[in-house]
Amino acid sequence: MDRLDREFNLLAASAERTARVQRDEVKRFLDATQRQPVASTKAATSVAKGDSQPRRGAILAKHLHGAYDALIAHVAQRVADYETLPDAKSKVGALTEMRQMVVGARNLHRSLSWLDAAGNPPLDLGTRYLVDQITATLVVGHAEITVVAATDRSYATVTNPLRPVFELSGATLPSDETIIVVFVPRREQRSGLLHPLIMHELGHAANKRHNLVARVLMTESGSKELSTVMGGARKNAEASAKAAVGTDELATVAEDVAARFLAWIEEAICDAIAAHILGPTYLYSFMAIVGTSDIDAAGDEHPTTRQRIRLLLTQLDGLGWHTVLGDAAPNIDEWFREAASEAPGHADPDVACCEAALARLYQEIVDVVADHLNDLVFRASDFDPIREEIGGLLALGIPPCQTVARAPIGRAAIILGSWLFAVEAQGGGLDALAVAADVPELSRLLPKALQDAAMLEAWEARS
Amino acid sequence: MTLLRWEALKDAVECEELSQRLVVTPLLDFDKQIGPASVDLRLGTEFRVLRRTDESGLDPGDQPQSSVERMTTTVNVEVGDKLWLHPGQFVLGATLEFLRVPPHLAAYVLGRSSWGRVGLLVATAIFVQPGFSGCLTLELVNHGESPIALYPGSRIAQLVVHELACPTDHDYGRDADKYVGPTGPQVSHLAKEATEIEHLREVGLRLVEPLD
Repeated sequence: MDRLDREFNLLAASAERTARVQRDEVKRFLDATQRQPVASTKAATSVAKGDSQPRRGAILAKHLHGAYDALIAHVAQRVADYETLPDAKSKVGALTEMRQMVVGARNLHRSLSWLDAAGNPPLDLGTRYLVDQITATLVVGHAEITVVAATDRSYATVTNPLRPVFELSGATLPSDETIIVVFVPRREQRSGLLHPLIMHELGHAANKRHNLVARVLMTESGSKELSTVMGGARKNAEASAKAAVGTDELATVAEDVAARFLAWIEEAICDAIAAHILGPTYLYSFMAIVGTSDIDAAGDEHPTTRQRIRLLLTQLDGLGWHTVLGDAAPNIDEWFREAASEAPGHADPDVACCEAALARLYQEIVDVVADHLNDLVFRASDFDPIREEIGGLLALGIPPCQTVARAPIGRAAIILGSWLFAVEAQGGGLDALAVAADVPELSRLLPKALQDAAMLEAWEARS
Repeated sequence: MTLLRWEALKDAVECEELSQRLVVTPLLDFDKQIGPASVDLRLGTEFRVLRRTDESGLDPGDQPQSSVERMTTTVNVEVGDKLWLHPGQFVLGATLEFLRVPPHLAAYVLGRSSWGRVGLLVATAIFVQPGFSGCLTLELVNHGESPIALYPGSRIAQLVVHELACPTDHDYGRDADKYVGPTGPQVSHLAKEATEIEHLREVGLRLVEPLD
């Protein structure tokens, strides 16, 4: 056995062992699920859900177990293949692949913290019910969602993240199982006013499942705007080049710009989804987090914040929010509208071209979103009649979940009413958006109101 | 004090003037919850369960509030699930309903007899002051011989409401040290009474001093 063989064996053993110890941990989680544990005063430090509902994280654990199984099987296959390799060059290739597998297996341990989050969710129960129900409506009814308080990233989403590992051994994920992992910054896990950003993240999961970007592109305007963007990119490349540009090079440039445009459409869809469901609340949450960056900076993935504000205002005005926005938080509304009306002019012609195309396409985007969400829409006319009552309840320190006529208050209305209460409490200026989540009463009242309203709705639906 | 009957309870919870309203929210099933002379209250989803710590015991005169907090852990039980309470065990729960008692009313929270008959004690500190606002903390003890499953949302207690002879200007919410606006069970604030216990110690010393 030469040096390469021994090193390969070391790496294979390490990869197998790394996957195996993690699989053992997942197995313990799964075993606990199968025992159908119940919350008990006898086990106060390891409380689990009862036997009447599936345990949160059960499908995630199953996928993780499958992924580790696949990884271990793949390692075994590569070990068997190694015996048949004809020369040193092939062995070096196998060695490199096995080294990557060790790294991959080690990195996969990040997913174990998702199980911890499933067992001990970072969000309050009221928000969890809201996220669960919106996921069921927006993505698919049987999706399992896990919200993770992340220390290393901002709001983000992944759908079926284990699929590539799972498929290493040729296995496929059951088509009726979808897992979604949403990350919220750990520092904001108790900031209920910022949780509307989760709805934007769920938009990505919805797009992955229902091909919403493709549906926009299938409209007449969609295909036209994509052609315009790609044609513009070619022209811009030719105009800026000092020498003649080759056909292949032009095609690459056009594809890159098209990829950016498609990513922007996806972001605009996610914004539109969140605004459709939650109304101005999303704009406020968005501004509190995203608005602190350079609002004219265009990214490969995101349109400029200024354009996003402009598009959101257009959509919200279309849902009748103009008067409420101006009346409830006039200083903030004024800033939004001023910011939206300014056109900075981009030095990069491709950015300008994408921005113009996205603006022209926005109505199609809103239409696709409205069609996908069906009746799940929050209009000003839903909020106006109960706005004063919500404000009165909050002012007296009462969670606003039910009107005096005993009707459940919609959860979008609860969050918006809480936002307006917080903005007023923090002075009503644009800076109030940054500190609204600090209003102490809301850390108690908002989760309780969301939970009780969810229960009221479910109670009435059952009755 | 007058005990409110069904008609008066209905008027109290439907009072248009919010500051005078007896707030009971959420009221899932008005017809089932408003009785002849009481309002049924449901069990909430949050519990505080005692856990083993390195504390030797509870001594309100010699223990910071944070150490009392550490003696319990929070358990959330989702609607549809249950929490088992074993014989002899004690857990703090809370009403699902958030209450606000206006200044002209006061109330008592009592266990429902159906639960009492299986050995469950629901509340020991039963008086609800005028001006109280929040979910009521319930001191749940299983005095029976069989474990009892507690389901959040089930009707576990009843609120008996009285009208004061005249409204008080010194309602409960004026005292910042008290339990103001809780949305779940709250552990004892006895530790906040350490100053009074210190005062009692001083009084005790004076009692054995020679008379002036």
